[in-house]
Amino acid sequence: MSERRDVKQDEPFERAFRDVFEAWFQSLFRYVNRLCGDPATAADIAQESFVRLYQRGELPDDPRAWLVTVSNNLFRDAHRRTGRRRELLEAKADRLYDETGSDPVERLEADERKQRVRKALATLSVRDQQALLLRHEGYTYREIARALDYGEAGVGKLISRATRAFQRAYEEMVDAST
Amino acid sequence: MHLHDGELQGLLDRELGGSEEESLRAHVAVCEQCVARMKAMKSAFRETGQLLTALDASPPAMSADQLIEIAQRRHIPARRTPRGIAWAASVAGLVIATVVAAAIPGSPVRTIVQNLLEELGPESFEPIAPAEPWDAQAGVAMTPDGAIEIVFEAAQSSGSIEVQLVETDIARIEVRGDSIGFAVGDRSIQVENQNATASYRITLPDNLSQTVIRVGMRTIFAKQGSRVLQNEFDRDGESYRLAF
Repeated sequence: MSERRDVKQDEPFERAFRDVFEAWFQSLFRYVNRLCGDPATAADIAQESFVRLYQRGELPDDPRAWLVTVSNNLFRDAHRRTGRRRELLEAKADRLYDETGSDPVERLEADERKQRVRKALATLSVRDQQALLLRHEGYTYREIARALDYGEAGVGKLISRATRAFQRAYEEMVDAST
Repeated sequence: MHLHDGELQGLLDRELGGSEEESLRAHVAVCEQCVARMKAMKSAFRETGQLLTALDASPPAMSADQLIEIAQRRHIPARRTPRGIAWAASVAGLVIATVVAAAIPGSPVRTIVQNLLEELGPESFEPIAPAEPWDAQAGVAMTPDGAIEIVFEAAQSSGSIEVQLVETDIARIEVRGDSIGFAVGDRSIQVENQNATASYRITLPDNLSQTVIRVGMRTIFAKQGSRVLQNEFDRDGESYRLAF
């Protein structure tokens, strides 16, 4: 028999959980969405990470780093499962996103910029992408090091390298399109 | 000696602190080259941040209450329990004890075994292997008219899948013959069966709006309402069976 797990938590934990949710849910979603390029998948991953945090019953020492570690693992699994469908999903997500603009020319330019950004990001290793995106979400070097299982002393170098590689790739794409 | 990029980035991000930061800032104060590199890095970082916003989408409308509700009605997958292992160990222990006792000349067990074998004769001796119990399982609580997707990561060289559509509110997979992991979502169960040889018994609510079973990218069963759209199983009433 499958058992229903009793996950009703005490009030102090629920309050703390709600605080963490209010503080970090949107940021986590934005990070995962930038990483995976599919808002629906990003929403699933961010939600699942918070559900698991609640099921844990107590907050870890560093909830933010814990959440992003879980999200990274879920992203890796999702990427492995749906790798072959990814391009299709991205194309679909892009079309949905594009319909939100008003001016057709602006929409076209925004779409081109988005494609270039995504392609430039994709030239980086996954770890470099994660470090860059986490830093742009305001994660500290310690949180990034924990989330990526990387030495804290090397995080600055990782971010500078990722920034440089991203800029170079983006500029090459701009040059190629003009 | 100039600063390396990691040090300059650390200064920009104010992540160094202490005497290290003091000494690096002292160098930057007198080194035009490092100042220029630091400015370029700062500009590149800011520009990257602006470009990354092109990827952003609206966050889902989700509240903490909704996530708490999901967590509270979530079923956890029961991994292989020690009960099966204990049962197997008990049987193995009994068999070993019997064999050892039967090997001792003059022991009562030896006499019993000899008499039994003589009565049965060589032709009639057919050991009956007990069926291995269903143990590892995953389950998802379903609402009527909900949807479920069950995905086997890979095709297997052996084993089988049985599906039963019954009146229940839990979509459940039971496993025997191998150790299997599951990834359970609100509306999905991912069966981590790479290189596995297990057999699966799937019990599903018969009133779901959509039921999909896939092996890798191949859909082997799809049902919408009461309409079966895709079926590679052998059907017997509301039971379906498929060998890998």
